Amino acid sequence: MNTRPSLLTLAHRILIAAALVVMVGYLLVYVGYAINLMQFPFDYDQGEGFELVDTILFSQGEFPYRNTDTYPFYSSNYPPLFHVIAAPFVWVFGSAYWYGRLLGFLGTLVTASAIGLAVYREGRRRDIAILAGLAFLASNTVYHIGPLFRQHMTMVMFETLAVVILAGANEIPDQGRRRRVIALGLVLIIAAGYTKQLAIFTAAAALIFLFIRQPRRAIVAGVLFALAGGVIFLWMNLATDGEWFRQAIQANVNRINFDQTIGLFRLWWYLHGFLIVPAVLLVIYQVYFSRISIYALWFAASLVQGALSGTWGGGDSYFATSIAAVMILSGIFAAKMLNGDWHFPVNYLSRIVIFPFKRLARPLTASALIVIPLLYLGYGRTVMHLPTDAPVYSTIADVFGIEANALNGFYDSATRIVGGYADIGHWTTQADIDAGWQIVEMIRTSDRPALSEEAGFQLLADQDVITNPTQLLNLWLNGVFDGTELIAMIEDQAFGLVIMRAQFYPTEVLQAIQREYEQTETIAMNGFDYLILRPRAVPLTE
Amino acid sequence: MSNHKSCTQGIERFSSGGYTDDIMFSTTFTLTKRILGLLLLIGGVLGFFGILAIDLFDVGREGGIGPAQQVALVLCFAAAFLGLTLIPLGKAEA
Repeated sequence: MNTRPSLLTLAHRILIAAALVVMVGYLLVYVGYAINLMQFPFDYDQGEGFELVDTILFSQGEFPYRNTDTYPFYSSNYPPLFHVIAAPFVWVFGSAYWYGRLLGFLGTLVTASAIGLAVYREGRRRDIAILAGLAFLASNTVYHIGPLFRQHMTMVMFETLAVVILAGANEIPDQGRRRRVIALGLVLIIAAGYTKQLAIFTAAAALIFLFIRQPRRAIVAGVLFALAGGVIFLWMNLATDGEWFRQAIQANVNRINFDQTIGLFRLWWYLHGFLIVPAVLLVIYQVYFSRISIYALWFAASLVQGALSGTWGGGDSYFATSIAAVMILSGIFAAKMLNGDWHFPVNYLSRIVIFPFKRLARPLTASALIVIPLLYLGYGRTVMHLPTDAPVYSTIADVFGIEANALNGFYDSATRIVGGYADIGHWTTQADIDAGWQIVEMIRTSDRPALSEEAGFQLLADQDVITNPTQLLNLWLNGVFDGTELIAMIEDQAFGLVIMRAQFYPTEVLQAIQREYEQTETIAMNGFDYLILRPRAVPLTE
Repeated sequence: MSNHKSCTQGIERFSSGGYTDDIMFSTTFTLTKRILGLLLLIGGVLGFFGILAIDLFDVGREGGIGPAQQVALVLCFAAAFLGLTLIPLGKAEA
């Protein structure tokens, strides 16, 4: 008996192995980036420091949702769960960035594992399941926001876990177990929502899924879900004298820049198109020839989430949920293709577009042996990102003729030209760390407190964190910020230094700063110019 | 007798037309493609005209149909169209 694999099978195995090598390569880049960031003691992505401040406040048993009209003009617009999870680290290690970045990084590994599990459960193909999980981590978007002290990827983790748990819940025959599984799924969605508000779209997808499968169960579960979420909401609002609503809900209503949304959708398509196509084909199959899965509904809901990427404060991170959904759907599609596991019931569509081509089924299944790994290899090419001057990576860059197109010798195939695509992902250097300490030293030697657009410098100088500029801007744009007291302090030159990175403050605050302060130094750190302003001897007149 | 017969025929037509004889809030009911299609069609049509109605009732507004409204109109149209294509699939489970 000839037990040797056919040439086609051999080619399939080689191509799958190549795809796995490429994805593991990206995993190594990701791990290297995460380790690099955990060693960086300052804000890497603007706003990380304010998430650290939220964490410190929670570790002290205080809410960060405060009245921003009075000193220290600080508040947060993010729900609490990520910071609550990180709070015990403050008790042990004090204020530092590494543990928040570690939590974000570990969250992405959990998400990738859940994606792999979902694909394996549906298709029973270990190689495809591993590829799907690794492909998630290889996405430029996931890579560059994964190991940040930010709550977004933890939300995606909770969303993915919830969806994977709920996927087969309706078919559990034992009523008690079914109820527990559905309850767990919904609790995870509440957790996602109290990590970041955007999880509302996943909540909608999950409830619609439950409704399609069993309306009565969905209504009962939905009412309990709304009650649980609502009670937490009301408690937080009462405990913060209404600031939770003002800071986290009112301040988050922002206009959409449609050009940015369209640009980010095009980038999402360009980077992930190789896997979006099979994902969409599976959704079409489920809609017309099979049952609609929670993954299909989640994918559709995640696109609405992506549509909000054009809002002020939004960006490519808003596509992270859809990327997770794409990886699950494309992985299941790949497994079904390789298994030849398609069933087309008789209906008007199958008569027109399926049955006439029935004889192509066998060659199509055979061609899948080559096409499926090529899809992952193609995806691996489009999401290319790596440091070009670090040891080992520089050799790879030389072999493939890749030249840096981003900061600190980094190549990113996303090119960073689309508005809203975060200029991060490059690795930090000792020069960046030295520059950060230089700013900290300026704050320490100043005789008055500093006003800074990043909190890390003040935390390391052991001074009060004054203002959260992006939040003040959110509030100002929604007409719920009274800057009288802050502007009066600026006019009194109560601050010894003003440290600007992107001029995020509301316009009237920026105008007051310009009148009272002048730029004396510029310090480059991490690819950004930090403007150091000191009080003018003679203020400018209005 | 003839009334009973026509009633039975009516139920048969109802069932074979894609509806189950379960009531919607029974523990065994699941949505069919046809019902889902109808819901999408009705929701899409109502949504479409609801969005247009914003401009009719909000007389103080200027600028006509804005970009967000345009996107919403396209989504409503897409939902209605998707619903229409699902209705012929009958009692297949959604």
